[in-house]
Amino acid sequence: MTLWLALIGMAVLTYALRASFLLLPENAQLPSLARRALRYVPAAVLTAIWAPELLLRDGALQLTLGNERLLAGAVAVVAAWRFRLTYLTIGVGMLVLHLLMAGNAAAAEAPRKVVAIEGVTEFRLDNGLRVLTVPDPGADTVTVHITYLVGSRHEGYGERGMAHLLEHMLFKGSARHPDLKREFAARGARWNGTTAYDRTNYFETMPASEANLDWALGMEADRMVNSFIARADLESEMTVVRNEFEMGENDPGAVLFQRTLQLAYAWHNYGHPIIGARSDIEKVPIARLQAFYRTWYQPDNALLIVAGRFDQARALELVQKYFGAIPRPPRALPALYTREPAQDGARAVTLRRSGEAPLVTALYRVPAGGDPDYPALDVLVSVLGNTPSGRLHRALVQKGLASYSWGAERALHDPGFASFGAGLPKGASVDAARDALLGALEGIGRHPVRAEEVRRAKTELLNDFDKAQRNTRSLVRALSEFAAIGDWRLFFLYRDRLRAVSVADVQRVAGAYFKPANRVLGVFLPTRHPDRAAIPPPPDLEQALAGYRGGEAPAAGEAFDPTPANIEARVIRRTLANGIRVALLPKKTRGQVVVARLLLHWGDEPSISGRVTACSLAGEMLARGTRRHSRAELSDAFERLNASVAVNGEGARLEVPAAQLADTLRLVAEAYREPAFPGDEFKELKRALLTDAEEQRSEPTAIAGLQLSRHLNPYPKGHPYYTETIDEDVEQLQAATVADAESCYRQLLGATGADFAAVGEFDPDELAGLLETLFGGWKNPRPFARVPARYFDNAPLEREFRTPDKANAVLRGGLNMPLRDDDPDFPAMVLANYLLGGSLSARIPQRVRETEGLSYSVHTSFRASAFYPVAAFRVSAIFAPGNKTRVELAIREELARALRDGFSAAEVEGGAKALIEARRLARRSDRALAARLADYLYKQRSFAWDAQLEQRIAALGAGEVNAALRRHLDPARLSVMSAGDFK
Amino acid sequence: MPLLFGVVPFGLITGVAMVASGISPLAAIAMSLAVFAGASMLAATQLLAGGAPLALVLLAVLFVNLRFMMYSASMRQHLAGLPLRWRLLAAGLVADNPYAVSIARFTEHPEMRGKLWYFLGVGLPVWLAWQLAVLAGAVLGAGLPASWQLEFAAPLAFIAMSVPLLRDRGMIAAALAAGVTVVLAHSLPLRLGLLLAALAGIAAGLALERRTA
Repeated sequence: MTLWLALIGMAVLTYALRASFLLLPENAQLPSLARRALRYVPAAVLTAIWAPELLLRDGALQLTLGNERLLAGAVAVVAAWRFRLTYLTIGVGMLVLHLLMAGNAAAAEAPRKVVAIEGVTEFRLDNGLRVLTVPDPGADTVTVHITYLVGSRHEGYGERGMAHLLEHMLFKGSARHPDLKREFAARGARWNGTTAYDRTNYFETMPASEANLDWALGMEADRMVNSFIARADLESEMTVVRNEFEMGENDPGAVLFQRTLQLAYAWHNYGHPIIGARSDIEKVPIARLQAFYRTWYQPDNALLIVAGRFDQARALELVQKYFGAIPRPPRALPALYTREPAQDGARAVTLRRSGEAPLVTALYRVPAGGDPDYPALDVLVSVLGNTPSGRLHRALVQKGLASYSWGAERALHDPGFASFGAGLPKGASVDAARDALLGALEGIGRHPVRAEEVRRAKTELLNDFDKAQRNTRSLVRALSEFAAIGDWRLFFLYRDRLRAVSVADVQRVAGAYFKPANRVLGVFLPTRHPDRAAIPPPPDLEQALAGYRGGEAPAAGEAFDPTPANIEARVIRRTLANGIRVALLPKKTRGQVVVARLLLHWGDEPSISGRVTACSLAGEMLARGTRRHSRAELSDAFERLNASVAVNGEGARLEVPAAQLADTLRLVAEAYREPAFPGDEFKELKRALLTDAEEQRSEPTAIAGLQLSRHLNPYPKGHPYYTETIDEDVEQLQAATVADAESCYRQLLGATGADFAAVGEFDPDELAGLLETLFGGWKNPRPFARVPARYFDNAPLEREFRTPDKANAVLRGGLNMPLRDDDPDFPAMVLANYLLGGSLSARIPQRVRETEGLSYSVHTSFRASAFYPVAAFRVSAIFAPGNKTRVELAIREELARALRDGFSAAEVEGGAKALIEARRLARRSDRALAARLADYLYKQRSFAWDAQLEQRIAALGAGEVNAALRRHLDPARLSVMSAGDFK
Repeated sequence: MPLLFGVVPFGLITGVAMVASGISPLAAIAMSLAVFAGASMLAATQLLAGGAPLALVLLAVLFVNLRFMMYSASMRQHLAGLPLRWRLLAAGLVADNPYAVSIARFTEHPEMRGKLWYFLGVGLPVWLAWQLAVLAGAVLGAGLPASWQLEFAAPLAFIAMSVPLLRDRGMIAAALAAGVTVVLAHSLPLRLGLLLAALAGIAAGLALERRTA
């Protein structure tokens, strides 16, 4: 159009110039300045037209010897100056140009031929560009098609829709081609660009001519790296793309498809629509588009296809000339690594939007397009979704449940999806259509695929390949798609695989993928007035907080140095009525909080044996209702007091603001002294404990721990220290009655000889008085006698327990030692354990976690009783089930190495310092301090014991530690229980 | 006629170069019939192929063909008395070769009779020969391989036309200023650099001419 307008304009203009003075009155004259100026017009204008043709190449000044036109033009200028003969000038110029070109062409690299398959030939340029030629001498057109291996899959957060937006931007021109659309039109080209998950492509089909091919190759090479991608263009194009987005929003089917995809892919970008998110389309910064362009639009990430009627040798010369000039980019192509984990259960989504007819769809995730099974899947989708021969059509449409049905698959670079669906008549039953759809899709096991179904589908699909190969345009499109899946040659391999698909293959893929756990169900329910929750955007907090001052700061605690001496200097110990012992450490605390610990001691071996469950339930029932308050009232009352309280048969822990301490203790005493044992609460408690117990059955942590404890501490059944199996635990819980619990309480519980410790802001006398009032009258009905612990010298045992579908495995190991905590070797053993596995830098964690990277958590522990010669060394680790052998080997090797070579003097000295510092830090916590104070009351110790232990540890030499370790820890006696999903 | 020797090869080259630059043979022939001015046709073809807007194409044509206005002015004194229809016909044939031959003759023999017939006698054969040459070039050019780079004949023709003009300081200054400006301004959109270069060239020519005068 422009051409013809130009032609008319030129004709009129030129004629007007010619006729100007011939038609004017005789006395008309040009002004003299104009006449003088006119003299220079030809020289200026003609020079301005030819100069750029010589000096510029691809929009840039090129003053090199490689610029053949510059040299040829220079010779022509000399010739014109010297001889002033038009034809001589033109002739000399053309001659020099051709001589130079011939010389340079001989020197230039030609594209390397890589492979040829069924008429399609691949060449490779030095910069990585892949080129396919698809000659079709019978065609009257030539097509230039370029596929960039980048699509919505490659977008990052905040960039959803950017690949497609960029495709639009590539039609906005470059310095050399400022108005591409006009140039396409001038050449009568059919052109377009499309964006998908894995690729973006651009193509133009033009009347076959070398000029057109030359132009298209030059243009595509130019826009690969020289496109403007300008902010101003983005601003105008964004609204165009946004409207394209809006177009999709109008179609309930498209939106439902998107919602199901979003459910199918939680991590992989296939879950995001190619068109993107409205916010990202509107806001994506131009700099991110430019960076995306520079990264992915490069010769090593593109496939160029030249198809139609063209001269192959000449086309390759042109490809080399235009694309060969683009350097190989210095960046490495970013690798994408996100993989979607297997779906773990059916998912479903309901869409409510305006519309008329309901839709029911089902989507299943399937392998990547390059998978050998994909063609069988393709056949299966046709067997199911074909209209009118497919199963869905028969099950839904012919039965009148739906108006139409469909099935579609998408062969993609990464594992993709197959989707099916049915459109329902207005008012039809959605449930019936859904059941029929899922029945047909997931019922292939019951109704196996038949040979004639497979034959029909294969014929249909193979015909598509045949048609594609006969039509150059379809072939080019198909080659582009298969290149995006991974390689253009897959087009041919896929066809061959399709030919080989058997009925058994189709049956197998149906069973493998079309099952409920892999399904995303979609339902569209037309809704005239959709009711949605509009979530406001995040508020402007800066404004809300402008000038904000807050209230009063909480009281600061005192700086208290937790040395044993300081603690002992401040602690007040007393014995109250009923033998209650108290240890009180009054000190200022942050927020004026009091932390307290109560330990109860009751029962003896004969009285507790056989009723551990009943007594434990009794303890749990204490806070579940008293004669005066229900469980909810108690809980609300503690909340009102701002008190954190835990109460059971072992004792109580509380943390409460100083002002509320008395009221809180009164409520705690009420729970202990007036429990009501309400029957419904007991049932609720039992249900919760039974659920906990059942959950343990598949928990590797619980299983490994329980098995180790049963093996290392084989107390007889019924003994207070006996470890029950899960079955026994469940059995005991089921048999337990509220009467059993209450009788344990009545017969055994009391505060006689109880220990109480508190740290924080209180008046010691007042607190002691209150405790005496509250607990002094609560006497044990039967005297307390400590149940003795026993040392078991067990044979080592190694066992493995399978817990299917648990990604994490657990190892618990250990052995017993006949050693009490006043043993002379005790300090050495504490330090040895610390060096083996008591900190992250200890030997076993260092090896298993830091060096081999096998475990998030691995450690050891060592404890010894204060009353009986019973000590326990334990080791514990978690890891991926496949690493079990390595973890166990590493632990055993480290134990053996420590015993064989011992710890070095430096290791022992550094370990002792770190351990003492860790113990000091532990005393900083008021909570830990209260617990330790209460525990020491029971053990009749003071913090002098800590001071003494730490002194001994500090004085330890490597020889003592190594000797103690060798004396007590025999790694051959280590028992190990592991639980996990071992194969 | 030696005159036709001058016209035919240039017509051929113009036809070939136009098609090589990317316009269809039909459009090339139509343009030749309608415009009949080789240099402006080559210039327009190049600009159109580069995607320049219509206004700039026409402006370039105006510049390139401004010389016709001078021809027109100098022919007037010889053809002024003729009836309008003859003057309209003669105007259509104003071109480099017919003008150059005729004006030489008229200047030598100011009082000669039948100036119109002389002019038409020169102009019509030249017109016909030119059209046939462009037709042949366009048809031929479409069949010639692009590797011959025949579109390069267009800038060469412009060199052949402009370089011989550079015989005084003003002309040389005009050409240099235009050449430098067009290269510096090449990144401007819509090839506006051409307009700037023309203005810069004219200004430079006038400036230097004035200084020498």
